[in-house]
Amino acid sequence: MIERFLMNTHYIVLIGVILLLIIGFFGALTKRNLIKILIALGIADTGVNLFFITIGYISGKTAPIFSKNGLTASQMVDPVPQALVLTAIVIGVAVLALGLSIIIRVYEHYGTLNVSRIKRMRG
Amino acid sequence: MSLNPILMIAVPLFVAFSIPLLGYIHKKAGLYAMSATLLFNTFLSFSTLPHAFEKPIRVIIAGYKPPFGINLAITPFSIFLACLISLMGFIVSIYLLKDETTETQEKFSMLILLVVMGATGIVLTGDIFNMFVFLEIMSISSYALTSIRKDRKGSEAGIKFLLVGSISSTFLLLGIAIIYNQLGTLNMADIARRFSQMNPKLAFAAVSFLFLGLGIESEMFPLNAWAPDVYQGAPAPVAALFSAVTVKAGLYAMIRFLYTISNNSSFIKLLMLFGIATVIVSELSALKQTDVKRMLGYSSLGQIGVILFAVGIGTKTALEGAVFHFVNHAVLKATMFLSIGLLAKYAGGSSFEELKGIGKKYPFLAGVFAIGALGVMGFPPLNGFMSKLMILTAAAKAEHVVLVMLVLAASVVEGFYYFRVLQVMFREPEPTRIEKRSVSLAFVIPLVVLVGMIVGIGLFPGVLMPYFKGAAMDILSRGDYISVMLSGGGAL
Repeated sequence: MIERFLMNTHYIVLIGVILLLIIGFFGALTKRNLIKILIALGIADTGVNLFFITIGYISGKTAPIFSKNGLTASQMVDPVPQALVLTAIVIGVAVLALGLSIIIRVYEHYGTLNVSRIKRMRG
Repeated sequence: MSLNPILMIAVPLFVAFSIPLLGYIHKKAGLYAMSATLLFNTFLSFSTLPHAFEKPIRVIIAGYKPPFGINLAITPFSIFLACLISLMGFIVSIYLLKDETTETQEKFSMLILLVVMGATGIVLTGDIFNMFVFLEIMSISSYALTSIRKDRKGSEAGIKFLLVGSISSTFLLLGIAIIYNQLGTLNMADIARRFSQMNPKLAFAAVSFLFLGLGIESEMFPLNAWAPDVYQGAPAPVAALFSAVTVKAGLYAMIRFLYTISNNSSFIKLLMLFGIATVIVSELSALKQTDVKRMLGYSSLGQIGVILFAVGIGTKTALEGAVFHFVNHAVLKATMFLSIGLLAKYAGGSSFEELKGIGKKYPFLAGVFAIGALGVMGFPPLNGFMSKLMILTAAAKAEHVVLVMLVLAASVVEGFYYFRVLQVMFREPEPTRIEKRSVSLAFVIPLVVLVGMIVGIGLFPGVLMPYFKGAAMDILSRGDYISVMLSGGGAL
């Protein structure tokens, strides 16, 4: 039973997706350091990207290159999720870069990266 | 002559990225290019408006017909919001011509164009992943705009906004991934047509994830703790843009998803309860604020709550009221943020202490602020009154009497804190430390136009009524959306 379960790559990857999401959100909620929170959110993002890839992946199939001779549609994986993930990765990188640059700014003003002490605005 | 509506997205994108080059020609060239582009957008959206109200338009891109390929779905509701977004963007951009938030204003004008372009993209697109991408373009530009001033408040608000925003995008992507997994399509009409074929549990998960993600974008109560910081920390014109443009796009995405795509009545009901919670919590929080900009932020959330409440009721009149309130909220909050921004600049800060007696020094600006405040409170000849009346009548008809009373109670609270601000501004003795400066024409024109809109819409709501009716019909008629978008729309 367990062997058959482990044979099915889909399930292993899905468990990985859930783990990544949990690690990411747990980190974002419990860590106090701004950079660590950003990294945690990046991990959660990776989990979603992995999920997207899993959707399109069919084991034993190959890349959809139509100019290759003798390849029919039934032998190909779904290329759409891969295109979407590329977009999502780029968005993630943009958010990460912008986030880090704002964090540098925050550090200049507050002298700390601890979120519990960056609380000038409240009420 | 009719231009392709795709230019509403393509032109701002192109201009936004050529602004750094324009900077070599003239220091202010970027700012003028931004204004000109937004004017172009306004013209194009208003010229498309009548066509889309006749019959929704489907714009096919690169020859791939839906459900394959990405298409634009220009329905009455979406084009109406596109008009609102580009018009408000244009008005704010005139104000920015003389604004001195940053030295060069190059990045500033570029980011503003990207925000408006992202919002326009969200309301016009017919593809759910495309919508996500536009949402991200809009959000990332908004994070940058929030912290553009490099000061303490801006940076703090910016990083909070960014962290919450990336959680929202993770949820959205997760929801979209589940939908794609189940249905194998990203076209909104196609998803809507086959939504019931999804596994019920997974459908529930997808709707929940998207509801959470879009709830953050549309500033719904438990998910909006970041919003007051952003309204306080961002420069005033940016705050005006956020409450007039980005929130509207978030709300559009929420409405489109709940009504057209998933048609999930229990989540729509949930929206009503969250809306009420948003109204009450934000109005009560606004009461104890000592900073006027932050107070306006809370008040803005309160108005969003009223819109969410109206959307949650879901009857035709309620939706008409909601669309009406979209317009009013955008106009009123833009007016107030722009005027308070100038007052705060002259007074040296936006706290009650610093604004004491400012109304006697700058009667025009404070008067504009007062008209905006009266409009938000819902004084009869101004526009806020009509839309609130419509929403509350619709709610009473739908037998939500308790909720109506709660909204009314919140309005009383609203009146209380706005009168407190007006009292501080007008009744306190004239301050001696503030010197009187002349207000530039670039600031006066947008404010006069906005006040004209407040009074004009309030006096003649009938002019816009057919548009509200059309938009509400568009939200409710799900089958029409699906059939038009999948089998061919009207011509331009």
